[in-house]
Amino acid sequence: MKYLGAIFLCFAFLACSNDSAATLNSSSSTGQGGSLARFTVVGDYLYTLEVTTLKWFKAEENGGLTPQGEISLNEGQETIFPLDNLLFLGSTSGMSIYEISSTGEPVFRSQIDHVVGCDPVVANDEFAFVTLRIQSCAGLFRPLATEDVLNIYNVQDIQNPNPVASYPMNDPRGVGLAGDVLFLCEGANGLKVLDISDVNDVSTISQLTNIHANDVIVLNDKLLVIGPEKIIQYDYSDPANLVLISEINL
Amino acid sequence: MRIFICCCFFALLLNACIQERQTIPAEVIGLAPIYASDDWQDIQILAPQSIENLGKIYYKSPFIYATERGRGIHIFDNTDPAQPKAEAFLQIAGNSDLAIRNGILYANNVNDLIGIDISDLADIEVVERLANIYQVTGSDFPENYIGYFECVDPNLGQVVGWFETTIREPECWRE
Repeated sequence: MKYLGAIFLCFAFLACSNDSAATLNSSSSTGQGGSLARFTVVGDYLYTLEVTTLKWFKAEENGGLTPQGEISLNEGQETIFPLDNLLFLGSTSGMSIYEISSTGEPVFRSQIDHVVGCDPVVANDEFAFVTLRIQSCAGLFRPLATEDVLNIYNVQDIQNPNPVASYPMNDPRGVGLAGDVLFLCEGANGLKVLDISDVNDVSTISQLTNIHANDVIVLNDKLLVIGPEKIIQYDYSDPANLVLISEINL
Repeated sequence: MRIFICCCFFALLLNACIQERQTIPAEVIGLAPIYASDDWQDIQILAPQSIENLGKIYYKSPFIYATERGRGIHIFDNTDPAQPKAEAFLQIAGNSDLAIRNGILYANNVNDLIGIDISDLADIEVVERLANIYQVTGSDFPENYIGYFECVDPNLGQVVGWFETTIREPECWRE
């Protein structure tokens, strides 16, 4: 009887932990945004970012939204990037990491400051990649820094992200990750395809200079690139040689 | 805190910008005014529209969504990526962002957050509207806001709200 009780407890615990996991990894069908996104869905929750506020809402079965709460943030919040149950926020003054609890609440884990610039962020389990666009970005509140860069932070310990490396770029904007390849938009300067297999020695695999690239979405087999006037799709199975699939230009 | 508004248009006229400006950014996230029209809450599916100034991109197979600054969302059918087809234009005034979950497209509509059932593009339905979620109220300049914004053009009518977007070479700001 004692054993039965223990087994029952065990099941109860399992069921419980499954439930809380299910909240985040529900069967909801969601899409994929670019790195400049300010709205994102994780599980049953919608997160929206404004300049100084992160708000979140529970998405109900009928499509309705129930406001859950909001967090006041430092000025200049620009982008939100979801990775599993983490949210990476890019702001003009740094990158912050929030962990989503089983109730959908984003819990602050860490923040890392950098010089002022415009900065989307993407991340994998090990590293976060942040572009800092300074040359053509705001110098509103603080003096301008000197250089456009790609910053890489080690985020294995989300409580304590560490700068790993920094590379000069030319008007960097949106970024997208595909395994060891990082696609980096440089506005009117085009698109760079970078090898990030060694973050201490990032190299350029290829580069397109004849397009205007503001942001990317990396799909399994193709890359969507958005500029102010068109959307271009590439096959990136050979990162050294992106193959044009089509252009949308109305 | 000292707050002042500085519009370079006037500054040029008066030659009296309070503070010497640093470099005006070519592109920056800021606010743009929404001018009064009675139908800003009117969400509609329209025929495909020409692209003018694309903002955000979103993908939910088989469709590509791309926002048109402050006006709505272009929807392209990407079933054949070699020949994506312009499917429709979803008119949402004051829109800059979107996300999709279970056939519902969530978007900002001026200061409201709305949910649109897009499972049938020929028959969309606004299933949620949370009013004044985004606190940028209408006036000649955005209240309680610090940063760049697009100068108000009084010829375009009364300002009913502000929306966040990428603005180019802004001539108005507040600090």
